[in-house]
Amino acid sequence: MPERRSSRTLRDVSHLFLSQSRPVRDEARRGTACIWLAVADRSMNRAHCAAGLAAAFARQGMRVSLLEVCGSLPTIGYYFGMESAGHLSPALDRAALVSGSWNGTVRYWFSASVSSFRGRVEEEPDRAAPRAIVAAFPYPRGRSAEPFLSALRELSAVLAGGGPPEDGSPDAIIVAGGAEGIGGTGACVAGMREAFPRAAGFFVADHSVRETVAFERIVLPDDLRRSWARRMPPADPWFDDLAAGLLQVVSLRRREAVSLAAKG
Amino acid sequence: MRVFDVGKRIGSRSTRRLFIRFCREMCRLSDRFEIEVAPFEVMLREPGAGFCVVVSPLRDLFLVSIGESRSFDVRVSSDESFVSALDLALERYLACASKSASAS
Repeated sequence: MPERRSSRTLRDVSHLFLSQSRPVRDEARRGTACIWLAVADRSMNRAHCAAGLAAAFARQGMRVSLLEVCGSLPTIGYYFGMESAGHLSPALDRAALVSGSWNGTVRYWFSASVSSFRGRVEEEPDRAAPRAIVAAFPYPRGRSAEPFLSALRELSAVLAGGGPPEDGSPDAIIVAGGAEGIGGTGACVAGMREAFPRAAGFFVADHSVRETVAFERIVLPDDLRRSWARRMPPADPWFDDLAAGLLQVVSLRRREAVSLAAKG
Repeated sequence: MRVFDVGKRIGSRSTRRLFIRFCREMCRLSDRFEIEVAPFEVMLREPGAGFCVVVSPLRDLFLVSIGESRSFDVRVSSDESFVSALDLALERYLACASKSASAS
């Protein structure tokens, strides 16, 4: 197995993210990054990616609020070590909302239905710490996409501080898709770009995907699947690199927006 | 023949519902499953990953056999046994997917 280089930690880049420059959005969004993970097909393990990304943010001292709309198993509960009755609840009741916390830094909720979250998720109480909001979901097909994304934005706004729905718009979008569902991946990228034109876009796929999409492409390591069965968040350095990269992009875009706003 | 029709062998409505749910959740795990529906069982396989699960309805319960060799069965007739069987099947599927990734 090739040796993977040690990752750049979030501490190395957090000075960018936590800079004192005035953010574009209101004060409640300061130090908060909102990341959406849209999974385009079932060859990708949504819960594994979401848990790994949340854990990467948490390892560097960020408070994480993680939402998962789980259309299929496994759920994030599997990777955060929940008992079977907990992580499999959506299989028995599609409206069930399950919540928990991990290591005191990640709070998570998951349900098969986005409407189940309404009124039941709450903002991170520690406002002083930098925060990450991660929402993971299978991209809905057809006409259901718009109301679904709208509902998800409202939930993100609640987690970001209870502001208007626009405050729940993602700073960055990750679309994950495999070779088998490239048609669905294209639709997912197009739909997310149309809904959130200002968000930074990334496309995560393995080496087998040759097609290009509008989002910046990030190659998923082949060996990441090896930790699929382990009942803990994956700790591969790839997730740390991804988290660091996301924060850098979010920070630089906010600086740019502030600069443009200052120029009038 | 449909999964729903196979499930009609189960007398209890609540257990029949669990049978349908179990098959539905298993089918959602992967787009690559080969699904064979026979009069007395439903078989889901992903040949490339070496994963196989067979679900067999009986009068008051259904059996979940995990693995090609059908080395052990889980008897499902309640929510508790349902989550146990689903948890085992899920873990086996993820382990098979991990192994196939390591081998490739």
